[in-house]
Amino acid sequence: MNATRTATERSDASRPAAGAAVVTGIGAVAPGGIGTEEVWAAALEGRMSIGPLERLPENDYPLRVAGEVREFQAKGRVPSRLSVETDRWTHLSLVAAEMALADAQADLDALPADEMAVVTASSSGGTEFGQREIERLWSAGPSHVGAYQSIAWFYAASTGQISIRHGMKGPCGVICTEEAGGLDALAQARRNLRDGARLVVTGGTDASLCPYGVVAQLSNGLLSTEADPERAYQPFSVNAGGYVPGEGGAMVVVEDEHGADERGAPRRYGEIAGYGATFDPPPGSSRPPTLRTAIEKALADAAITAGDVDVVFADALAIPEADRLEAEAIGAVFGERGVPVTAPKAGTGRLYAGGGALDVMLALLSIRDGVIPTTPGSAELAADCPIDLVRGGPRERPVRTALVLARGHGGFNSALVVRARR
Amino acid sequence: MSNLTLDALKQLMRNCGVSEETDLDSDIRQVTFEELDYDSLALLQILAQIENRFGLRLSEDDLDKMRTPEELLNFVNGLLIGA
Repeated sequence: MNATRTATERSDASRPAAGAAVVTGIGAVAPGGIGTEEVWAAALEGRMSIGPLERLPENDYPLRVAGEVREFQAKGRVPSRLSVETDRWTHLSLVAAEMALADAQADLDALPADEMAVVTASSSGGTEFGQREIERLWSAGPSHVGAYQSIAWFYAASTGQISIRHGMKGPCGVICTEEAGGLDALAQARRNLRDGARLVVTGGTDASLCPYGVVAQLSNGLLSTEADPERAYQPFSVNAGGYVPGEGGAMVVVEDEHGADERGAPRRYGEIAGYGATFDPPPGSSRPPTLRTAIEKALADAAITAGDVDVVFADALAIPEADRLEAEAIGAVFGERGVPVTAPKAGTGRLYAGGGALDVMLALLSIRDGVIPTTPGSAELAADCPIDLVRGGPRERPVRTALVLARGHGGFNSALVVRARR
Repeated sequence: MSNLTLDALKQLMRNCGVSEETDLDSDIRQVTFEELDYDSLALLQILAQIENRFGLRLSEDDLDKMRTPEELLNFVNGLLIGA
């Protein structure tokens, strides 16, 4: 057999049909820690990683707190040539991807470049980088805008830089569906595996805590104006009054199970077992929102029923109406207080494209360790949110199947099922 | 007007980051930018800084005449003398 076979020939002739999409490596940089185990420990502790918004040089905005990854600096973690070409959100992606690949112990030189893919989610792109260059444009003139603005700001930058850095030349892409993006990216990674990719680096990060980014976020009218970090983001509670934004996220390595077996991958955190996505009717429509349908599609795709789900990681927007709708959708599928629901993001803020990816990571670690992380905060549950919210500490119980929900601003609903792989 | 020195050029290169395999303190005068891990975009970034500092206008065609730091210094300083 000739050594220069194409990817198509390989998948048609010498490879078995695609197996399960298994997660073999995890990396995270999020409020609460740099590295998977640090982030996991913070989530189990229920640590409040939201704090005063310090990334703004001056803060005259009606946003006082955020989930910052304060200890993260590109220096020492991202090569300097690469670091000057890229935004902070890409730095976070690059570092998380590197962690996930190290965790997966994949020998990338042994895999065909055209069978390795990269799919990330991005919500804001490189706003901080872009703001700096736009400032140069209006203060000094067009010739002072750096050449790297051309490649640093746009949504696909993280995907592209990960692809270049690790020599991954398979199908690459970026998904921009706000908070739903982290789940949508993982679903796209599963499609890539089914189409013949062997390994996909996927997930999402965001980092938009610069003035330009904050102003853009404020325009949706959903951000909490509360200055007390303990009270600012309290989903499903009587104090729900908006959400707190954060930065960071998670990246994972997803592989076709046959390929993972073949190369002797040391870990299987679980499989991406099911996915459903819907888009809501426009505001003012008489038709109902469609999160419930997304959940039902994800369960059907995983060939399971509601009773098989051990925990739901909620979207948890902390807008009373949105919380009520989510509680209703969960209740309609699982019954009132029929399944443990958790929202660890109440301790980190919503990480946009990083949020769904981080929740998937936490769900996989719940499966690994048999414990559901808690929802930080102690306010009374809202009467119209009759859910079994995990709070006051983690809940130890075997977890085999977890459902992760995310809603992206503008109408995106996504639901992803992850399941233990034996 | 002063000319562009090798040390000043090195600083402009440092502004674009330095590859782990590159030692800018070694004799780099005749090493190509490509070998020093400065691609065409990095070179554009370096040239834009030179343009702004010296009030020059360089064209993209000029890039071919500046494959090494020495060629760049000769080309730019040639323009400055002529100016």
